[in-house]
Amino acid sequence: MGRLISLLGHYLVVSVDAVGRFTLLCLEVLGNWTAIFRSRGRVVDQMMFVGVASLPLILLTSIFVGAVSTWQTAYQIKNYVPMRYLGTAVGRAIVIELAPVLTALVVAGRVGAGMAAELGSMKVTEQVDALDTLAINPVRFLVVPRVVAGFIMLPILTIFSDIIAIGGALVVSVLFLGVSQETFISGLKLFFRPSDLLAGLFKASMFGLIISLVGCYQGLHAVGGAEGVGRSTTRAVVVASVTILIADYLIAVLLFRQ
Amino acid sequence: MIELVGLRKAFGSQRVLDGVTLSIRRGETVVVIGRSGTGKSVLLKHLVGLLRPDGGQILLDGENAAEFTPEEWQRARARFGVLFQSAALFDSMPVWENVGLALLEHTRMSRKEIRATVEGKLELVGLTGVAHRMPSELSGGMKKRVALARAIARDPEIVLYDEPTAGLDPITGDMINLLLVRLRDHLKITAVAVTHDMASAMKIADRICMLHDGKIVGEATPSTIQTTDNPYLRQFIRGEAHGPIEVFERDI
Repeated sequence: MGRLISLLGHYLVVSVDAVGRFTLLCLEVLGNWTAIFRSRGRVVDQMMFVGVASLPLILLTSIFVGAVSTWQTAYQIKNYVPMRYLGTAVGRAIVIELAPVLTALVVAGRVGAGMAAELGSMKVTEQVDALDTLAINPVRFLVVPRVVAGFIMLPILTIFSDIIAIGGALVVSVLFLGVSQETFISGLKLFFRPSDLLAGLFKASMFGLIISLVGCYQGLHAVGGAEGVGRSTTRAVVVASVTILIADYLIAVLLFRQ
Repeated sequence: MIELVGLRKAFGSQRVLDGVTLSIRRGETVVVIGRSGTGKSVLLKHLVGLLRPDGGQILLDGENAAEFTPEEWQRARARFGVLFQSAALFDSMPVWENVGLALLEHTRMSRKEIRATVEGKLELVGLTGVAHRMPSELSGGMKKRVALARAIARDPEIVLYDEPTAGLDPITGDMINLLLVRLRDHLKITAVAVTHDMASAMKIADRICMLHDGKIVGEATPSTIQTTDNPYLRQFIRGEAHGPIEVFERDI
């Protein structure tokens, strides 16, 4: 029993320490936000990595997100709600929830892991220390461009995902569910509100911050060589994914409370 | 110029530095020798603020750097150059950007001026025609020389060398030794090197100090070290398993 309490206590201390260090990293990023202007080249490089290079994966996942959500929505509403509302239900689900969250989870796996691996490798090979000795703040040089890229590119990827997913939904509706293109699109427009789109994009920008901050934090705290970098990479994906889901709930309460 | 007074550092229950006292005069090269794992690199990292001591002082021209804020260390590091044991080149950047990074970040020099400066530093370390290569395309000796060029890019007053010949074959290692001597003579820098390579220490040092059990236990010059009475230095330079430095099976 004593050993269990000791173990729990140890994990509590480690967790509180990690939250504290993460908070300090966030504050340091905020304090160095002017690095954006001096690091334009690095910000653009990171935007290419986060955004442009993720497009093929987002394309693939979005098609299936739209298609699956259409099949399952049709299954749920077919005997109760007229199919002319299929576009409404699917469209809002995609714009408010599915596109932002699933895009973020996919990008967390690709980009978050990539950031943790790159910064982790730099940490264990003393490249981060080398930056310090050149009087270059590693947070300013490495983290800020990545955070800015995540913040900007996730909403853009989400817009892309919205379009592709709704396209996928349209194809399934027309080809397999007997809903005409005109019916689907009029349903889509029926209860569409710009505030739904903006809410989805706000979520996406927050998720982008989470992915890049968690990825960078895990990378900069990697220890123990290749094994340590591997552990950091795994933790980056797991922690970012869980945090995205928790943030999704909190944002939903904030924005959609009646 | 640099004075360590009673420096102490522990990692958990392991006491690595236990009252290190050492003075380094302007313009001299001090080499700290010792067995692997005695804390030589830990000592070096304290000199440039990568580690904070648990106790003691690090006096840089009279100022106690052990109490510096991160911002004060950022300013102080302009006086330093560091050659890391593994070179620590930035593998996403070509050689010229590695060497000129501090100039790119801290000066208003144009890219053309920086490239010219970089070429000059690379020539000083015996490298030409590599400015556009990536670190992965370089041999171990070339990486060390690029890292050396990076360390001296801003003409520092003090250069720290962490195992400068580690991982190099004897011929390349001696080439590095000659480079360090040349830099000392041409640039009049103050240098602190840590190594367990006695041949290297004998060539580059003005003074050799030995770190053992967290303290400096002996000091000599290259000309007097071979005839020293100090039992620690004698055991180390002769490479003997028996002596005041105990060797445990777990260390092997």
